[in-house]
Amino acid sequence: MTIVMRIIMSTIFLTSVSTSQLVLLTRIGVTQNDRWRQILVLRSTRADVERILGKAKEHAFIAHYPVEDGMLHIEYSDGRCKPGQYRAWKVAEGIVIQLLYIPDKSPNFSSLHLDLRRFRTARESPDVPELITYIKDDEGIAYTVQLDGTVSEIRYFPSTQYDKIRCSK
Amino acid sequence: MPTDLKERVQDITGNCSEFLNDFLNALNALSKSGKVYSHDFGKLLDRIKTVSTASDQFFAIQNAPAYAAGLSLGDGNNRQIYIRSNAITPATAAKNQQFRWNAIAQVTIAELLHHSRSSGTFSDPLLDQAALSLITGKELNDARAEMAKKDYAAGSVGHTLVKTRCKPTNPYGAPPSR
Repeated sequence: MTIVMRIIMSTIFLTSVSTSQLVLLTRIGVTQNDRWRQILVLRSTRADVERILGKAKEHAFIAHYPVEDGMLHIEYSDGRCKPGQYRAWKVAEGIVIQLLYIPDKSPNFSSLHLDLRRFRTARESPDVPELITYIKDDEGIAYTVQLDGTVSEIRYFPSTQYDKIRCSK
Repeated sequence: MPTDLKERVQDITGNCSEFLNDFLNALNALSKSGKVYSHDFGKLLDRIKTVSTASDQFFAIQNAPAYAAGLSLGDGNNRQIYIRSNAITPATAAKNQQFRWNAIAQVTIAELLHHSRSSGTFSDPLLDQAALSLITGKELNDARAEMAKKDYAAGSVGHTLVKTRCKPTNPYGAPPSR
């Protein structure tokens, strides 16, 4: 499976799929090396992650895993939800709240053939405004694209369907 | 711009070389494809085609937020660093030119972290990720709290960590000759 196909598949897996859909998709084509794509933001727990990828070196809020074709950085909730916070969710400690995937061989963004009309763009790197991030809030996925058009980071975050459990701003 | 920018950069980075090594190792560990070009900030600076001060207007044209003190533009053989020079700067410079030049060197180091990626640039969120992997305890809790704030700016954790740990030998003077 090419990196492009994997990225597209990961989009399917890591967004708003139901458990039954996940099982079906899993049966269709997740290989042993792709198992990390079963991890779902705001659903999977640290135990789920460790069952799939093994224990991380440290019991930290961010765990780093080398996976096939890239590096995966998993951020867990600390279980806190204070007023004024925006990057926090009303979920228990140890729930996955964000995945950051950095591919080994950065694919060309245009080769993903995404419908860009359904994405918003943002400059998430204040010091490097030429890095453009394409974000699809309703699916909880963001691609950061380098100046040469290659994708350097893919971030999976809670989609808008989870807004109701977002800590109030 | 100070004519001895490289010496100032090397002075500051030399004062926190162990920490910066760890930081660059952490950046390296975040990705396999975006390897760090070098741990030597002199070499990183040599790759930069342009280092210059620039106005608020220039920063605005580049879509930089108002709080950005530095900008990293370009890649490959066209890497550029710009340091914000606003209306307050001339007054500061009149009081202490050396202090200002050291400040320019510190911003340059912050931008060199972005340009340390062999190909392309490291984003601010990645610098934060690298920083978070280096700190523990209260420092980590404080950083996470900072990131959870409504007005959190990506990169602030990474840049703040470097700024607090990497300082010139003589804040109000020239770097010592090595």
